Parts: sequence; structure tokens; C-alpha cells
Amino acid sequence: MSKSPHLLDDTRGIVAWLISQIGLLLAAGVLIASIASLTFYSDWQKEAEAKAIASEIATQIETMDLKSGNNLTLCMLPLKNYHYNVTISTEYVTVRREGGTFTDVITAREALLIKPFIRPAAWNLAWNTSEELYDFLCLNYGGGQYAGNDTHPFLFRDKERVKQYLYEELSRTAPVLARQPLLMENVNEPLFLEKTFIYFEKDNGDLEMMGIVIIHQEVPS
Amino acid sequence: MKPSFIGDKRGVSEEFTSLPALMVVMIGFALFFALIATTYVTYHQKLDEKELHEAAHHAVLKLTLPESPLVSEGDTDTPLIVSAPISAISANDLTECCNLTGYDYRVKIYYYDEQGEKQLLRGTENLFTGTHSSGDTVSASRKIAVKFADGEIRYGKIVVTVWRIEG
Repeated sequence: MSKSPHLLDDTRGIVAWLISQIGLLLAAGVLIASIASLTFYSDWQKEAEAKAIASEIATQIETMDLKSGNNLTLCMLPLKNYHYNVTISTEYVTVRREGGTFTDVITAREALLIKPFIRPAAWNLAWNTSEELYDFLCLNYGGGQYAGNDTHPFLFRDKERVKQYLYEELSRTAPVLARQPLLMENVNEPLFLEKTFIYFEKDNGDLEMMGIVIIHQEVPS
Repeated sequence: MKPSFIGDKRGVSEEFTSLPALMVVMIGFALFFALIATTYVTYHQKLDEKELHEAAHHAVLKLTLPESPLVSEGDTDTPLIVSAPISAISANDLTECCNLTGYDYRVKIYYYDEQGEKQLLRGTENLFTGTHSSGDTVSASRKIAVKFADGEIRYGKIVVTVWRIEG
């Protein structure tokens, strides 16, 4: 019995395998891997979940802007079986959660339609709540007489000064909040959304009101 | 000495079976990525539209609150609007009442006359914030009652059209 020639020495065979069939295998492999990764290992579901949390909080803040009277609403983070945190700046609500397949942290962001006054407790600001705002305005703009609430409205001529102060306060805090937003990590940590009105009395006795939304962490007494 | 298979100059026709299979896989590839790309683009378009709708809805509700310069009397359920002061309302008054971050908007108020024809309320022809729209717009409307100076009240609606601020 004669010995068979070595594979490479066998000139009778063809090695088509090495060309198109390897290409076929690679292409099919990449295609199947793409479908599998998008279907089973993608983070789109986790991203959608984070987006839903961000959207829910943003909607709560925007809804406050539509209240036609003074209102205080408690906002609590939804309880989830994974760790996440929420940051709120003047323009965005951002949710970050752990456990991504390709990245450690999954981020979802929702832009706010309005610009609320965000008062983080750690900042030690001159005012946090609406009551503190009235006291502050009374002391600094109302001569100790007008607070801007419905019982002690400002005179109409003070409107521009008060408006200017609020505009400057928002412009001052917005860039700081963009770098260092209000952070919520604990689902038991409450956040208070407050709609409040500053009243101005016209010469004919009519009241004109200006509504603002305040977000703070101070538990009301 | 026999030449190695690489040096073998005799040509062979490759088996034809693998080439159609390769073609099928490549078509699958193309279809798959076309599908993914379409889904991605459509998703973002829908997301953009949803955000515009939300902004328009927010603006129309905000502009019909009792503190709105457009509303003279009524509560949040049935806002009433008088025709007389509308012409005195400026873009600044609108922004003071409803300032949407990243959006500008136009307000039009319609009422239905005795013949049931829809009429644009005088003074709302050019009532808008910022500059004219240059991209996609979305409108939201709300039913209102338009009160004229003589005490005549007509059924109408307020239409707010929103667009994104460029840049």
C-alpha cells in the first residue's frame, strides 16, 4: 500500500475553502454576532428605563409651572432594584445608572422646558423656600413692608427691580448648577417642588402676579 | 519535484456553491443594517416630534392660565379672552408669561362668527416670540371663549405653534 501524499503536496486537491468559504464564515459570524448583541446584550432597555425616570421627574417639574395657585409637591425617586442617581440642573434632568453591558454607567438626559430655581441644601443660600424668598424680598426690596405675597404685595413700580433680581439669581446659579447639579441618590431623600407667586399691586388695586418654580430639599415645618 | 499548490499554475474553477451563500449573507448584512439605521433615524425623529408636542402643549396650557396676559377672566377650565387688549400684547409679555427654554412660538386666536366662519382675532396676526420658524413646527390648540368689548361671547380656540430656536 502506497503512502498518501501530504496535504500540501497533493496537487490533485483544490483549496477553495481558504477563499470564499472562510469569507462566508466570517460574514455570517459577524452578522449573527451583530443581531445577538443588539437583541440580547444591548443596553437599550436600560437606557429607556433611565430615560423614563428622567422624563417623569422633568414632567413633574414642568407641571408645577402650570399650577395657577401656590403649590408644594413632594417628588420622590421611584424605587428600583438597581442603583441610580438623579442630577438636576437648571436645564436638564439627568439619570445615571450602573450595570451597562458595554459601559459602566448608562446616562439618560431630559431637557426642561422651564428654568426652575434650584436651591441645593448644601449651598447655604439666602433663601430656599417660598417663605424664605418672601422674607428675603421684604428685607431687600420691600423696605420691610412689602413681601410680594398676596397679603403684602409689592408696589407695581418695584416690579422691574424684583424681576431683575430673580433673573440675575437664575443667571448666577445656572452655570454653577451645570457644573455641580443638585444630586439625588437616595430614594428616601425627598425633593420639594414649589410653585409660588410674587404679587404686584397696580395703582387701580388690581394684582399682577409672577409665578416661579422653586426646587429645594428643605422639609417644611 | 512536484510544484506546491501555491506554485501550481493550473487553474481550477472554484466550487460554485459557496458564492451564492456568501451573496445571501451579504444581502442579509445590508438589510439588517438598513433596518437598524431606519429604526434609529425614525426613533430620533419621533423623539424630536414628541418634544415639540410637549413644548406646544405646555405653552398652550400656560398661556391660558389666569395669570396669562391673554386671559382676562375665567378659571383654568374655561379661560375667557377679551378682544380689546390683544393688540397691546407684545412678544415680551408672552415671554414673561411663558418662556420655553430652547423654543420660540407663535400664538393665534380664532373665533367663529355668526355664519360659523373661522376668523382670526385682530391683534394676533403677528404675535410670536423670537424669530420666524425655520424648521419643523408643531401646533397645539385649546378651546376658549372670546369675549368682545360689547359683551358678546363667541366660541373660539387658541393655537400655539412651536419651533426650536436655531443654534
